[in-house]
Amino acid sequence: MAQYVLEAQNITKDFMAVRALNNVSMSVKNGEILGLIGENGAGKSTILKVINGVYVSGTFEGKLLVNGEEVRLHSPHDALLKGIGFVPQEINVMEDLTVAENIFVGHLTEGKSAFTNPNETLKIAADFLKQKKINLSVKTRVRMLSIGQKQLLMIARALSWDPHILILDEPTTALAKDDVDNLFEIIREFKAGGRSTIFVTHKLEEIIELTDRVVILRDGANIATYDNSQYNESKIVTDMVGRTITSMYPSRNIQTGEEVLRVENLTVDHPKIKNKNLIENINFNLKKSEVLGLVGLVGAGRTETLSALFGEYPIKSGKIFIEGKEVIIKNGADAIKNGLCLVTEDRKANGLLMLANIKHNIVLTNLKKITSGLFISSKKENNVAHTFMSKLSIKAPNYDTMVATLSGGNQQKVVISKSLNTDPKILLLDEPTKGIDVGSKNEIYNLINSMAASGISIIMVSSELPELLAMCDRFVILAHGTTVGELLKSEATQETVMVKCFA
Amino acid sequence: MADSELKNVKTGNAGLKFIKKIFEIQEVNTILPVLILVIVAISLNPGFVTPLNLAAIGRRMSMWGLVAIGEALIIMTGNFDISIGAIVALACTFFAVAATTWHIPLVIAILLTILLSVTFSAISGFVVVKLKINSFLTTIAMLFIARGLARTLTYSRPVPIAPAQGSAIFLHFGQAEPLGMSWNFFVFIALIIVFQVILKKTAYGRKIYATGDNPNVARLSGINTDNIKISMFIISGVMIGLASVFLTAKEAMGNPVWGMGWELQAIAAVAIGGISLIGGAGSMIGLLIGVIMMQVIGNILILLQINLNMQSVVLGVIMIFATILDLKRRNRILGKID
Repeated sequence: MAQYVLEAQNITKDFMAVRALNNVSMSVKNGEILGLIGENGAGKSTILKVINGVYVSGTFEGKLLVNGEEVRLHSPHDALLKGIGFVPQEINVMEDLTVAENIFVGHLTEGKSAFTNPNETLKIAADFLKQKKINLSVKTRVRMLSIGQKQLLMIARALSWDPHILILDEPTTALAKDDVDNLFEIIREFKAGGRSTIFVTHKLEEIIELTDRVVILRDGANIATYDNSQYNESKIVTDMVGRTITSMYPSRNIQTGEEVLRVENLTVDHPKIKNKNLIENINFNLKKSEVLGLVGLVGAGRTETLSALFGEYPIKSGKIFIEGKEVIIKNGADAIKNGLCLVTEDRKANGLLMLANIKHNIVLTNLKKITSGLFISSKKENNVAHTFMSKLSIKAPNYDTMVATLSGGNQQKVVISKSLNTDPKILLLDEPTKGIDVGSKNEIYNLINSMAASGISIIMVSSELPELLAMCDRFVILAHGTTVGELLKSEATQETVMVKCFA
Repeated sequence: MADSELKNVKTGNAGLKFIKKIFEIQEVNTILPVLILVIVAISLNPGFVTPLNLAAIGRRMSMWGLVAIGEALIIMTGNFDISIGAIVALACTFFAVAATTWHIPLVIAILLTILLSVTFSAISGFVVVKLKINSFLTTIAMLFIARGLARTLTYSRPVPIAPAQGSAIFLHFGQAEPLGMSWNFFVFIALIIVFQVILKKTAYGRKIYATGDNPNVARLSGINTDNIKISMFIISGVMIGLASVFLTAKEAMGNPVWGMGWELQAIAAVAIGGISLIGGAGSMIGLLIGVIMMQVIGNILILLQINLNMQSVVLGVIMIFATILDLKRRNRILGKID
């Protein structure tokens, strides 16, 4: 048996004038958990798509070997048949089918008869999940699952093909801590069966905790490969970023002012489930120039609280005060008028017009600012775009560049520019560093500090607890859709926060 | 300093870039086939370029072209309207009946006709946007309602307007040929220009594109996307009303079978004109090209004495290509780098 179950040799892939991969090689040993890490635009997703058959044989240079034999893949299905299972980053499940049907959707009937046998499917699925130690109920409609459970479901679906190599593309982005532990357990179980995993992530601690070996990519090229025994956090970061970052979390002089926002007993109906509240009795306040962290497990109601403040849900009861005055916020336009702005978690779905350029995205939130009389003044428009591009150092040829071509970090800066363009008093940041690379994260942190220093108050939600602990001045703890406590920066540690979350 | 930087980005090996830029403009992709078509037409039958024939093309296209403007706007914000032709029939017959049987003064009848078509379109818009019902279903229902009402109103018969009934000026207006064209033609062209300017140069236009590109993003950017979407239906209603008045004036009657297939013709022109059928992209100039192309193809096939039924075959093939082009453009923008 060959030592390597999968080898990608000297892969070069161009997109028109852009070289996405330059002579990249990567190999996976039998029974190994291989980490793949790199900034956005480093080529991680591209190499995965080559391995997974999305970029079909012939559209790139170089060779793919499975168990020492060269293979030519013509589709992701080809890859599956060769034993390569792939779990993409985005959640992709059929909401109205059951867990069991989702798992076996690719091989529901398998030649026996034209009809599916629901009971048999359920039974096989239950046995299968039990064997893989995946804790999901097979009869549940997928719509009712949390994001973490959907992620597990996608992994179960990939495992149902009995792959030799499982590729996980940033599987932990949407997961809470205990879901991550659960996932790691499943991956280790898979490894114990002699199978291999490629694990892609932005998070260093996951690489260190889980993987046997790590491959670092930067700008579409191999930078380094380390064995577990050689792991060194700062070395990996330096390799990824290409420069040394002295302090990941910049410090700031906290000087908070008067109260800007007060939320009293905010309660919102669940939009889909009857007689259930999405969030209830949310209470907290926010001071000028303060960075406030909303902490909680997935499903605690953090994103929902931000969305409710921004007028995305009709408010059932409770009051919102801005600078002492009660405000009624029914939609985004009301929110913006009252000085609120929201940077959403999912910038592709909710943050950016992907068919438009940087300029048109930035000005969208405040079109009044760029119109003179009836018409848009391109001079004013260009000025606004130029100001934000240099202020936030957005890296792009110019403001006519399409946002779809930017890296995750630069896209996020465009989203933040959009918000700042409304001259907000209060900025709601939902996972502001999700899916962006270490270097850009550092820039976003600096930006948060300078925005707070300039008098903007910030409410921040993040699944990365270390990031929240470092950035926020005060913490409001949420659990089961309601506020359960508060901690000052001086009191907050990973432990005290988690204890409150579970209380 | 900032300004000089900007200039540097803008200039710089100008010649090649200019040509490249030209091909990046969406409308260029759509106008090329028209040029090729025209050249083919001229070489096969020089009769194509006679002023008489060109004017006939212009007059014909501006009739259904008017409703295509409304359809294009609705499509740009991510919806469809299948009921346009049926509402044309209802508006035309209503107008004819109002002017003849009910003896309503012409000016008021015109206003009522426009109000009627706006009401019908607005109802569709409201149902689609506020009740969140698929626009295909809603407007198919509206098609049945409007066509049925038109037939009921006229006992399924055409309603002629005799010149004697004080409507001579009106009929003359519909049938006049200023500069060999029609008043309808000039109104159509003017509205194309007006909406082109609105789309490209005003805040409202930006809101329309944003709503079509991604309503979530637009909403979170403080745009009332519901209002924008409904306003597209209302504008479309005005266009239907105008077209109906022109059509009734030209033919000197209202007929409940009119407007059949106009919505499909309009959608085809929208697709051929490079307006994305998924919303968020396109322009009125593109639409104009689409409308011209539809009319020219029909005209050429007639001049070449090709079986009339082949027209729709050719149009169908062209539509598929246009849609593929749109998808390719979208993928080029979205799929450059992961």
